[in-house]
Amino acid sequence: MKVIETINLTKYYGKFRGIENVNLSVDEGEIFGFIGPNGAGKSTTIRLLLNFLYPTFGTAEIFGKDCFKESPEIKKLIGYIPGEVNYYEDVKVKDLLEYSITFYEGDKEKYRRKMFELSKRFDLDLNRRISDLSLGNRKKVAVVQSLIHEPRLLIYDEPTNGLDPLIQKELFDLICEENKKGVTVFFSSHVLSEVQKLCTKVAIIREGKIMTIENVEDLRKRQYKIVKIEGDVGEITLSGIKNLKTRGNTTSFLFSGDINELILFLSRKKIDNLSIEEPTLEEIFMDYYSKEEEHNEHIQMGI
Amino acid sequence: MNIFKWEFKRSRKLLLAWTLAFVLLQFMYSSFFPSMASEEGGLLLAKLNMLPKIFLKMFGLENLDLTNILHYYAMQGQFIVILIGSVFAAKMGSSMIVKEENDKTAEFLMAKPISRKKIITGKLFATLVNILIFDGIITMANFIFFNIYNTSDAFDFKLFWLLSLSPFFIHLSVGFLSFLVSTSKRRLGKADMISLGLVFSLYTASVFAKLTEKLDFLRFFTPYSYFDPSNIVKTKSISMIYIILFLMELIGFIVASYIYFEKKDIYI
Repeated sequence: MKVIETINLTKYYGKFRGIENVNLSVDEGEIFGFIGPNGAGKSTTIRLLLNFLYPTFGTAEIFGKDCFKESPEIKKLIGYIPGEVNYYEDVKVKDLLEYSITFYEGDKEKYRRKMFELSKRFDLDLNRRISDLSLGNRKKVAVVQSLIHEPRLLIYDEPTNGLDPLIQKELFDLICEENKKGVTVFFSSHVLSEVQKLCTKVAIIREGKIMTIENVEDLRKRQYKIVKIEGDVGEITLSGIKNLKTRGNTTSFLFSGDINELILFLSRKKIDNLSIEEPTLEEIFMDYYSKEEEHNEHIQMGI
Repeated sequence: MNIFKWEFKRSRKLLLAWTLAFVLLQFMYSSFFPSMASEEGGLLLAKLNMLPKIFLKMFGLENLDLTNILHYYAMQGQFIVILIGSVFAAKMGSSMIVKEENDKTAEFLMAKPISRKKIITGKLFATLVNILIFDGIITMANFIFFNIYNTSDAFDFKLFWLLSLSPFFIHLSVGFLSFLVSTSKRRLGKADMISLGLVFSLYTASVFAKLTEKLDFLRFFTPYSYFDPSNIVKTKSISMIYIILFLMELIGFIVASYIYFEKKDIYI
């Protein structure tokens, strides 16, 4: 079953581009990464899914329901963390969370127990005023708030922003736990390493357009390896080599050719050390960008 | 219902402060009345009646016998309770919706499983109840103060109720108009400014309608004319046509608020 499905979802703010023809498809049980630089349209997409905004055109469905007609129904099943957490400043954390609970049908006592349990886990003081909280603590309130009503879909917009590494780990553990229970996660970020750690699938968005949607594994496999060799290798006569650099005794390059040829070639050389690394998603991502730019330049030059 | 409770709870300090201030003001003005009704007051009134008629009209002093406590109230009440009270109603209404966007709390509220209609309903209800309590308490306080300081035995209950309803109706008009402004703006400061601008424009329009024959038609466009205290004292009634206009406008503001908010893009 599709949890999120958008077809040609497009939003213009007057003349300005929000997003253009975004097609997303998220399956149940996935942790879906949504990656792009700031201003690429991540938050716009999410705000359309939550019907803060209406689309210029295109459709969006969550759990098979129309995001722009049946939004309240959909929101029963969603836990949301906004990119910037802003709450009613003059109330206590507990009041805010209890206000949140009043919006959900179901066992309120159970929700309250969950509130206490999660606050304890994240070391969140319920009796403090929102206005006294640091950015990290506000984020914690957002995390707790998003999970109290036991949602089936988590929409997290850059949730790790402002969280210290320990809490970040706690959050990732929690996301994985929820995911094991069958909860689908839609996770936006501009930090690629965290997506790499968590997600099974990733969509890359740039300047309002989806550039690619791929399995995180495939994306990495299809791409080059980073090869570093210490020792005298002489001239390298292999195809599929980029960014060849020689510094003293060390040679490094990006390799996208046949790995067997590489090994055959190296077997004839005397080398001191060898490392073959997977590129990080970040590097793949940068590669994607530069390709796109080259492509655009070619178009501009009329090639 | 939860939104109503939340809003009501959060606005109670403002409500309390404004209501208390008005009760004290009414106490002060009522306690001046005996001296107004005394001989010295009579002298003042005689002088007052020598002023140009247009001047009396402008300040709503025509038709008034200021030795009658209700007439006295009609004079001072229209500035204090009606006009300054309108500022309270306008502030209440104009902040109701826009503050969520302004403070970016809309991102919390709109992510909850609740329709936009219900958000409007809860907040309209909170606006209504706040204004009702505000004017209700002032009316009760007036009733007590007037009975303490009234120098004659006569007390016209009908006139008292009419003069008490008039600020309430005006505050409702202004409050719901400001509420509509609140649904259409993105920044609190702007909504506030527009609402207060409307309050004073409507009030000015009612004064012009009184002063010049040519602008007489303006009285159909402003609640300050519909429920003008000096007029109520004169006719001891509120014209049916005004009541109908008032109700139509009120419904208009409410319906427009629902329609506008339903399709609005919420930017955070």
